[in-house]
Amino acid sequence: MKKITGVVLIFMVCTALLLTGCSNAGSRKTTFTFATWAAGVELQEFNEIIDRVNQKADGKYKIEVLSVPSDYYVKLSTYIAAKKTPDFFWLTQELISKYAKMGAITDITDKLESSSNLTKEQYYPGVLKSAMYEGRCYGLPWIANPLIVFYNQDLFDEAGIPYPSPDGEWTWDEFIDIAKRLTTTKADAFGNEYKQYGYVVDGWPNIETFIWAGGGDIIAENGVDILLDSQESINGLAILSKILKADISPSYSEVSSLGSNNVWFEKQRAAMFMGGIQDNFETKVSEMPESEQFRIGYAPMPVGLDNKSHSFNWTASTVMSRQLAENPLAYEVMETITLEFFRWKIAPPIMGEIDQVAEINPLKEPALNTIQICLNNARSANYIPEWNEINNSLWLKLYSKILNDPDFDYENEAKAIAREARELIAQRK
Amino acid sequence: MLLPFFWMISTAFKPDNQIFTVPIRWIPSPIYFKNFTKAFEVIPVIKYMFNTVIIAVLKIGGEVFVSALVAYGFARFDFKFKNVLFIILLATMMLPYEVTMIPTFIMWSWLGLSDSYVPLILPAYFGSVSFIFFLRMYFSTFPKDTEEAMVIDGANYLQIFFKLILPLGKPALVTIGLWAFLGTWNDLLGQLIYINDPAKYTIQLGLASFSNMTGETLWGPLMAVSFIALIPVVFILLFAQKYFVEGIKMAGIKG
Repeated sequence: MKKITGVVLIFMVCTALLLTGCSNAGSRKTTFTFATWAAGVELQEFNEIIDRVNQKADGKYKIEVLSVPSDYYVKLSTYIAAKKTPDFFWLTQELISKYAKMGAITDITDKLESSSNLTKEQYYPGVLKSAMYEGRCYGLPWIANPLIVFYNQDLFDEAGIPYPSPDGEWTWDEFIDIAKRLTTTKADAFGNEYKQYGYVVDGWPNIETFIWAGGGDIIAENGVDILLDSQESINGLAILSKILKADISPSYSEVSSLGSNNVWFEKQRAAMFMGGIQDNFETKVSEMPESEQFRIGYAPMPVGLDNKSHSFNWTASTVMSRQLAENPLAYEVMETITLEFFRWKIAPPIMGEIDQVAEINPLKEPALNTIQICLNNARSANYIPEWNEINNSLWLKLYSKILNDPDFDYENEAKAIAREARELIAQRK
Repeated sequence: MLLPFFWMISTAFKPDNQIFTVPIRWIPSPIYFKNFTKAFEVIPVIKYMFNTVIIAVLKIGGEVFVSALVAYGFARFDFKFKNVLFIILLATMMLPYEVTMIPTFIMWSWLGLSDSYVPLILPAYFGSVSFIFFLRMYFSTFPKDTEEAMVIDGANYLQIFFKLILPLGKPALVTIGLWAFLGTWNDLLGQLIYINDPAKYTIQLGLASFSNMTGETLWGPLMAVSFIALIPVVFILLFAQKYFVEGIKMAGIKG
């Protein structure tokens, strides 16, 4: 059903774009709509930012907020199909290529290159790449959220294990060995036995993390070649299989018993957790009763078989509707808002602003060194318009199968998905 | 079915650190009311509930009355293409909302009525296919003798509808009224598509505001609002329970 809905939405969006392609209605406008998925408290903060920008603009332009608290992309697609595309909106990295190919968003490469307020050299390269498609830039990333390893220092002390270095290197084998030593049976205050795990994996971190750990990738940088069935990618999947066979993580079905994977770390049921730097464990732990609090340590992602530490990064970008391509004011507005966002959430995706992280969230200060390393290593997958279909197969036919059965024949399945992906790309027009 | 309900109530009165304890702590200790104050800081709960009630009330009136009128026509009159028309009507039930969503949004948008409650209310005044289907079955169970007697006494069809069919059909009408209310109260997608202004948000849109952009959910306040949102529903269900059970029984629909 979802697939049919998706196809219908894309068809309607493409038709609307075709019909409105030549319109220049947006070329003179000075009142702009900004669609955001921010809701609740975040919407209040977002509105404050927009109010600030509007005040600074002093009548030159005005931004109006369109909040979409749920099903953001359904509403966005509907609006595009109805020729009511918001002037600016947020897109996550996976969708930049799709929206760019549909012609829904403006290519801002030349504007970014000619601007002195925000240059492409300021961005962490791996972060900016996530807003690019076929070598052109379609959005201004405003947030970076790379993965780091959070660990429970108290549980490390209890097991007599030295802490991993906050800015050094460790391998996946070392990570697994430590996780094994941290996996043990304990008893709670009432004498009930429970298992403490060294780590927790349940579909998160994503499969890219493991494939990169083997030195492989899913799609090559050229956006055409599929690397999923390369020996390096298979080696990466072997790391995931090894983790699951080592019994250092609760089983897939067990994870949801505590609500979600991060709760295992918060409840000290898992000693290590791979999470985005935005994961706010520090605040949560500080709000716990003293007897339940623990000290948090930080380490970069383990080094893979290619001797590199890959840190999957989630980025959202501000993009501009295609209707505004000829509007001389639009890029200035987009740039001004994006610069304001850098002071809102962690981490700013631009270099030299690491101290900003501690200003936004002082509890993150002990993590700054690690965050800096992870930002340097931050990367996303090489997203292509067919990513959604490929990613669905990766989850349904590969990752979830391995999670449910560590002996699953992932090699053959990876080859089958790679074949399907090649066929899909061959159909690209 | 009752466990999630108890979990919701229990979570509404728990501090964060007690929400995911294993085994589940069903009775919060101490009872924590701050989730309610936090919830009211995030969204104006009462205003959103009031907005939802406005939509629900305006919608139910039209939906129930028009559906009953159309169902009466299909149940009691013989006319050309009656069955074909009924099949066409039923066929519209096969179209999921997602398929009609964009064309209808384009239409309302063209009429300049998006970001208002009109697209959420006005279609109800054209009846609801499932309610028409349900009421047609229900009205078909009525014996025709009384209607014939009324015709002999000079009553026209509208008088029969108002004086006989509607009073006799009260249990079924209350039942579909309840369904219509629950449908509106729990609708997210329709309200999400049409309403932009946060001042016009409904309770479901408010509930969607308790997750942040990294997917983190404020479980305590969310459950507190869910609990508050449930109160009117429970009261209405209790009030209409008698009619509801009777309506379902007489129409022969099994759950």
